[in-house]
Amino acid sequence: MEEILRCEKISKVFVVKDFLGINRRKVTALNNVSIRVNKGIDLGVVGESGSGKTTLAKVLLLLVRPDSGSVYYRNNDITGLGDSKLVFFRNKVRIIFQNPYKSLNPRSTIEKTLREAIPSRRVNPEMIETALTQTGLPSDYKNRYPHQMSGGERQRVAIARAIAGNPECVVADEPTGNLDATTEVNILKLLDGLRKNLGLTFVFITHNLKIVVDFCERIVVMYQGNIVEEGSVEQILKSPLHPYTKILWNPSSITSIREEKYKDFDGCVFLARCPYRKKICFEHHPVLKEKEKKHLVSCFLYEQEKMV
Amino acid sequence: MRRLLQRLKNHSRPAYFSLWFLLVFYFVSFFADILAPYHFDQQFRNKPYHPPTKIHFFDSGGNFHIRPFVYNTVIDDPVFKTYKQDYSKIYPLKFFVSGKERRIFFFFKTKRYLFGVDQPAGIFLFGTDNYGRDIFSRLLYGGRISLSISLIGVFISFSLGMITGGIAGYFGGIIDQILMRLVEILMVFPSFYLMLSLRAMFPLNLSSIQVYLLIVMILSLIGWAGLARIIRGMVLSIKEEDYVLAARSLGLPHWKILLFHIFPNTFSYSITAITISVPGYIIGEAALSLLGLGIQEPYPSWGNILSSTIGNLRVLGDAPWLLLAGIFIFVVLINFNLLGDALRNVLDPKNW
Ligand SMILES: Nc1ncnc2c1ncn2[C@@H]1O[C@H](COP(=O)(O)OP(=O)(O)OP(=O)(O)O)[C@@H](O)[C@H]1O
Ligand code: SF4
Ligand SMILES: [Mg+2]
Repeated sequence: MEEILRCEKISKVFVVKDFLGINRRKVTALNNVSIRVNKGIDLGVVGESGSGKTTLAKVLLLLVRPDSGSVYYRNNDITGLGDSKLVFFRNKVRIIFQNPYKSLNPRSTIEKTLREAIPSRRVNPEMIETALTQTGLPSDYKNRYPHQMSGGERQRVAIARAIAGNPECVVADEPTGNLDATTEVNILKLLDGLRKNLGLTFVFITHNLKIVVDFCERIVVMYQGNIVEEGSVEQILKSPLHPYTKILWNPSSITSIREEKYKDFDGCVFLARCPYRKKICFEHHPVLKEKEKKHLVSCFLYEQEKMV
Repeated sequence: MRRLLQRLKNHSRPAYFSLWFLLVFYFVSFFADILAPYHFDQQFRNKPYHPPTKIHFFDSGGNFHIRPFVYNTVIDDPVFKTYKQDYSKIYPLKFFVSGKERRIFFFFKTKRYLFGVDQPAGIFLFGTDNYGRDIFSRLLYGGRISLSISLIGVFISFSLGMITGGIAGYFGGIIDQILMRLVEILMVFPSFYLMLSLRAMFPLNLSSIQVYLLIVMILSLIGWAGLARIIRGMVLSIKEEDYVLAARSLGLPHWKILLFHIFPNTFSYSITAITISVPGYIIGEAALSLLGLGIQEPYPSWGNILSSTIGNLRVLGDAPWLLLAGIFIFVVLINFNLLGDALRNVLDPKNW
């Protein structure tokens, strides 16, 4: 299998200061996260808000530098390279941001935005019009500013920008997260068409399970910066292992309320919400281990031998 | 640009008016050579502290003249400098009169001025000073110096502030540390003393063009630090915005990201800030002139016209027209402030 992008043991901690800079709080956005993107196999990343999905996307593109761990593009370690040495990579792996209201420069016309996205030296007007029509926008939109467009239209521009470099992989960070249901369907159709026509591989980040099931082949489930489960769509759908994944499939079945009394323990990240917690969960981190063939989970329920 | 003007007009009529008013002001003072009836150092030795000349349409016989005219005046009381009009001859106002050759911007020569009257009468719209020089002409010429000092000064400090603040904020780390410590050193000195001590580093007897350049340098050196500091802060937050990350994810070089994605998004602050800071340069020059360190006589600037009146109490009572320079400064200041306030809103994409 042809590997495009891989990251290994990525950790990222943000230090959040309060207004006066006196109280510092550490937020672990990513903890020891490893993923692998293979050509033609779309990878879904699922997790609730704040689970570190966007941070993972930014680290994969080296827009945010990880505290530790490495990013590999086609088996070359690119973690330490500066922006100026990453140009080749930038054209091959691109990103669609979560919020189309923030991801377009409010002072650039659409034409200018797209012009920058096309790597060739001489950009002629037809190329820009092609990029627009490819995403279903009329070509006279090129003279508009972002504020003159709807959210869905903006997201189409962001998609046009991402594919303009003719990339092999696109990291889509909740591309429909800020859109209404019908627009969402249209955008997903567009992405699906582009994937087929251009042979793109997607890393599809979302909190909406229905989308990943339709769209992806492998799924990574994240919780508070940790990967708690990874497997094929089939495996995750039919036989979810981790308690959190079960909650995701059936939100009403288990309480989603975090119990405050558990928050000070340095054990499993899911401890506070887990109905199956055991003694060992309070003291140790479960590690991500292969349970079945290519189906990984990090939970002590599946580590029989270790249990006392 | 046209869209911007339209927005300004819709947003605030007074500010739109201010813009045109300032443009006219700048235009008038840049073409002082054509518009001023007298050269700035032309003296009427027999007419010091002359009040503004009266312009007449009816002569002493009560006849109406379609062309306005003035009378010559002679000194009435040599101590208190009062004048009486000599009704024996009328001096009609003439347009496009010819006179001594003047050079506009050192290049174009002109021998014709917009208006004037024949000698020995004089047309002093705003009166004369102690040497009998026409205040109106001096204000036009002085405006050229004061306004251009402010424009060039603002341009230099704007560029310095944007570049330093932009680089410090964007690259961060050791570059940021060095640049910001430098800025802080400049900022700890009260700007007035800094201005004085910088001026003191240079000799007093400089040629007028040297003094002009020196003042521009001093004023812009003082002005840029504060701007750099604030731009740095803005860049620090803007560089984390999604659209900047998006630009980075396209592999654009740093300079393009700074120039096209970061700087334009500081404009609603920075353009406003520099607009509002323009009068500061005019006042800074005036302050130096007041201490005799600014533009030297006979060259006029609004500052030194004003300074020749301050400290001379009699003048304040008897020749109040000399204070017009102060009013000019004040009017320009108000208009820049009005314009700056409106620009803040007009330049913000949120309001488009
Ligand atoms: N620049 C930052 N500074 C400080 N904390 C940050 C920063 N970026 C992210 N975080 C924190 O890291 C955690 C993960 O954030 P992230 O944006 O990756 O979540 P997410 O999974 O994308 O959530 P959502 O679904 O809401 O987009 C959050 O707790 C967030 O507060
Ligand atoms: S490790 Fe323990 S607490 Fe964590 S999910 Fe598994 S059972 Fe629940
Ligand atoms: Mg996110």
